[in-house]
Amino acid sequence: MNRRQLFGLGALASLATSVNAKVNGTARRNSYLPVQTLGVATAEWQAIDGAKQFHLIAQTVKREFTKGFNVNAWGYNGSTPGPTIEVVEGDKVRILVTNQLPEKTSVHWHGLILPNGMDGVGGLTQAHIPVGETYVYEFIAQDAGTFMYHSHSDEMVQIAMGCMGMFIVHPKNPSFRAVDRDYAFMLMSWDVDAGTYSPKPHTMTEFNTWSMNSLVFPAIPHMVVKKGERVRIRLANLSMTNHPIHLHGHRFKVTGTDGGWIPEHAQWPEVTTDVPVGAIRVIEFVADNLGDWAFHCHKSHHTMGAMGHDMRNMLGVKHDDIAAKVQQLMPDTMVMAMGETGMGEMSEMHMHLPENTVPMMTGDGQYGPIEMGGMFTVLKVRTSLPKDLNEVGWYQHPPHTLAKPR
Amino acid sequence: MRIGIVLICLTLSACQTTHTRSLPNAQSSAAPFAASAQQNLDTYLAQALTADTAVSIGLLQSPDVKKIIAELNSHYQQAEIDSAWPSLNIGLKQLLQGNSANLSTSIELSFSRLLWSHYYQNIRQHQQQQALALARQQLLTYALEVRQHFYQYQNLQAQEAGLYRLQEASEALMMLAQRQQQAGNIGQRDYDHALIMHQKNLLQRAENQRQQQSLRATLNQLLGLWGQEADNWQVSTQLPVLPKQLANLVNVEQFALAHHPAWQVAEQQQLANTFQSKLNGKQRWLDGISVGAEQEDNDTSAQLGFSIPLTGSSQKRLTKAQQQAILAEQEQQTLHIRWQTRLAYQHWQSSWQTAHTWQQQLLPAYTSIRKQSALHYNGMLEGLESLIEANQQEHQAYVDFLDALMQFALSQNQLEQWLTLPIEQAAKQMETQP
Repeated sequence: MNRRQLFGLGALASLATSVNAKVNGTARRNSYLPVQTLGVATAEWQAIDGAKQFHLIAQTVKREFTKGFNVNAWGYNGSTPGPTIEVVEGDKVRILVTNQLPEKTSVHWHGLILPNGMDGVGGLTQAHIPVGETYVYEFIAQDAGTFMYHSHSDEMVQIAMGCMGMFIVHPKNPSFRAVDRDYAFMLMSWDVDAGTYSPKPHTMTEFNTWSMNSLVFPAIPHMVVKKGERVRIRLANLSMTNHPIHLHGHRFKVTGTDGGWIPEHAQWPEVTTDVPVGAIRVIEFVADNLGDWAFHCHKSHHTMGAMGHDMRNMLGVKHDDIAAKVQQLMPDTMVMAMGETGMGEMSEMHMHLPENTVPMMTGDGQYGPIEMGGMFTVLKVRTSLPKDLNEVGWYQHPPHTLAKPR
Repeated sequence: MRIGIVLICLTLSACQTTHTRSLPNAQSSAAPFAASAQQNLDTYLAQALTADTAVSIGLLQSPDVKKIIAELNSHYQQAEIDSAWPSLNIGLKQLLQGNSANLSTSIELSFSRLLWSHYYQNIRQHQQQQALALARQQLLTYALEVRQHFYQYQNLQAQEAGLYRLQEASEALMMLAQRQQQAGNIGQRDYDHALIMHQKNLLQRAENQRQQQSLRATLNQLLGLWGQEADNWQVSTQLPVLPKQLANLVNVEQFALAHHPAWQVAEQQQLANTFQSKLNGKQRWLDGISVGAEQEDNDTSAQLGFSIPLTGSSQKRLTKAQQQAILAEQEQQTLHIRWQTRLAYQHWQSSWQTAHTWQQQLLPAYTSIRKQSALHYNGMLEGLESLIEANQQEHQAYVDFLDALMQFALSQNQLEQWLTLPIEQAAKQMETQP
C-alpha cells in the first residue's frame, strides 16, 4: 500500500463519526468528534515520548480538482491541502517536517500560541529547512480552536502552489460547544491557464480556479446531515481575496475565528459571512430545514470554472450568421454563436474544451443544469440518513412546495 | 597625268565554294527546362500551364528566342565569310590618259587565306562555338526568366485564395464589431480597428491582383503571346514540390564551370584569339600573296604580289594586349560562375530550410493554435474575435508559406540555370562523373 492509498483510506475514515488513531502501534478510539475535511485525509499520529507525533512531508503533488482537471501542486503527504492535524487542548505535539520540495521550506502554525522558535517563519524564527532535511517542531496545543498550517518560506510561491492544511485543537472537555457534524474547508484561489496543469504562483488578482479543500464543484462532497443536528463548518481562507460564504435555508452564527471562540453573547445570526484573507471563520447552526441547500461563495465569479475576462461583451449582439461565416472559414471546427442572450446555455452545450479544463459552469441537479463551478457545494438535510451517505440522492419536495410553471 | 578610276570591282569569296555547316540546335540547351513532349502551341495552351510548358511555348513562339537563333545564325554565317578563301578579284578599269580612254580587265587571286587556312579554319570554328555557347547562355537565361515569372504568377494566384479567406475573416470581424457597437458593447475605437483591418485586407487583395496583371503581361510578352492566346491560358494549381530533403551536391562550382555556356563563351573567345594571334604572327612577315593577270588592249601581263605589313611590331603588341584582356575576362568569368553558383547553392539550401520550416513547423503550429483557440472559444475563455484572429493568422501563415515556397522555387531555378540541368539530373551526373 503506498502513501497515497494510505491517505485515501484516511480520507474515508475521516467521514466516519469517529476515527481510530495509532498509539504506539495500538488502535485507540478518540475522545472527540473528528472533523471532516471533505476530500482530505486526517493526519496520522503516534504517541511517542509523551507527545502526539505527526510527520508532514512537503512535496509536489498531483491533485484532481474535479474529473478531468488535474493540477500539479505542492502540498503535504501527497495532498493539498495537507492532512488535517487534529489534537486535543493541552496535548504535547511533535511534528516532523521533511522537505521534499524543490526548494527550502518551513511550516508556520497559523493562530497557535507557541514558543517563538516554533512559529515557522523561515529566516526569522528558524533556519529554512533545506531540501531533503527534516526539522522537528514541538509545542503544547494550549488553546482549543481552529487553526491552519502553511509554508512560511518563499511563501508567495509555496502557498500559491498549495502548501497548506487545517490544524484543529479540540477542547479538552468534549461537551464544550459540542456539535453533531464538524466540517472544515480550506478556501483557495489558483491560476491554472486553460490547457495547462500548473498554477501560476505570480498571479495576484486574475485567478480562474476557486476551490474548497482543493476541489471544485461538482467534485466537492456534499454535507449530509440529519434534521435537527447541530453542524459546525470551519472555513479557512488562504486565497488572495475574501470570500462571502453563504448558506441557503438556515441562519448561522459565527462562533469562532483563528483567534479563538467567540462568546455566545457576541454572536449574531447571519446567512453570509465574509472570510477574510489569511483568516478563519467558524459557523454553527442547527440543520432544521429539510432540503438540498446551496453553500457557496457569494462572489459569483468564484462559483464559475475557468472563463475569459478580457472578452468583448456579446450580450444583445446577434451573431449566428457571423458564426456560420466563420464556420465556413474553418470547416474542421464547430463554431457556434454564444453569449447573445446570456451564458447559461454554456452549461448545456457540452462542447470540446482545451485539455485539463473544466467548463465555466457545470453540474446537473434533478431539475437541470446547476450552472455553477468553483466554490459551490450542497448541504443536504434529511429526516433520516442512509447507511451510505453517498446514496442520499436529491431531495424529494413535498407536494405544493416546489416552484412550477404557472 | 594619269588618273585611274575603278569602275567595277567584284570580290567573290570562296565561301561560295566551301560547304555551309548546318546550324546546331541551340534550343536544345533550354530543353531540360521545357516540357518533355513536344506539342504545338494550341495543345500547350489548352492545358493549365506549368513552368515547363511555359518554357516550351516560349521556345516555339517567343520573338526573344527567334532573335537569339537568328543572331546565332548570323554569327555563324559571318564566321564562314570571314574564313573564306581564296579571294577572287575581277576588275574592269578604264584608264584615262590624255584624250584617249583605254579599257583594261584584270583578275587577281589572293592566296593569303590559303597560306594560313589552318588558322582561319580554327578561328572560324571557335567563333562559331562561341556564338553557339552565347546562344545557349541566352536561352538558359530566357528559360530562367520565364520560369521566374511563372512561379511568381502562380504564387500570386495561389495566394489569392488565402487572401480571399483573410478578407472574409476580416469582414466577419468588422460585422461583429459593428453589431457590438450598435449594442453598446464596444466603442468607436474598437470598431475602427476592425474597419482598418478589413480595409487593409481589401487593399492587400487588390495589390495581389495588380501584381498578377503585371506578371501576366510580362509572361505573355516573354512567351510571344497576344490576343485570345494571351487571355485564355490558365496556370496549373500544382505548386512547386518541396522535397523532403535536399540532395547533397558536391563541387557544384566545378560542375557549373564544366557545363555553363558562359564559361564556354569565354573559352571559345580565348581559343579564337589564340589562333588569331598566331595568324597575326605569321602575317607579320607576309600578309598575303596574290597572283593575277591583266589585259589591256592586246597586251596581257601577269602579276605576282606580296603584301608585307609595315606595322609588324605594333600589331604584335596589340595582339598581346588583346590576349591578356581576353584571359582576364575568362578569369573574371570563371570567378563569376564559381561565386554565383556557390551563392545560388547556398540560397537554394537556405530557402529550402525556410520553406521546410514553414511547412513542417509553422503551418501546423498556426493550425494548432487556431484549433486550440476554437476550444478556448467553446469554453468562453476567449471571444469570437480571438478565434477569427487565430484563423486570420493561419491564413496569413499559408500566404507566407507560399512566398517561402516560391522563393525556394526561384532559388532552385537559379541554381539549375548555373548547372544547366534540373537538380535531379545534375545530382545524378555529379555522382557518376565526380
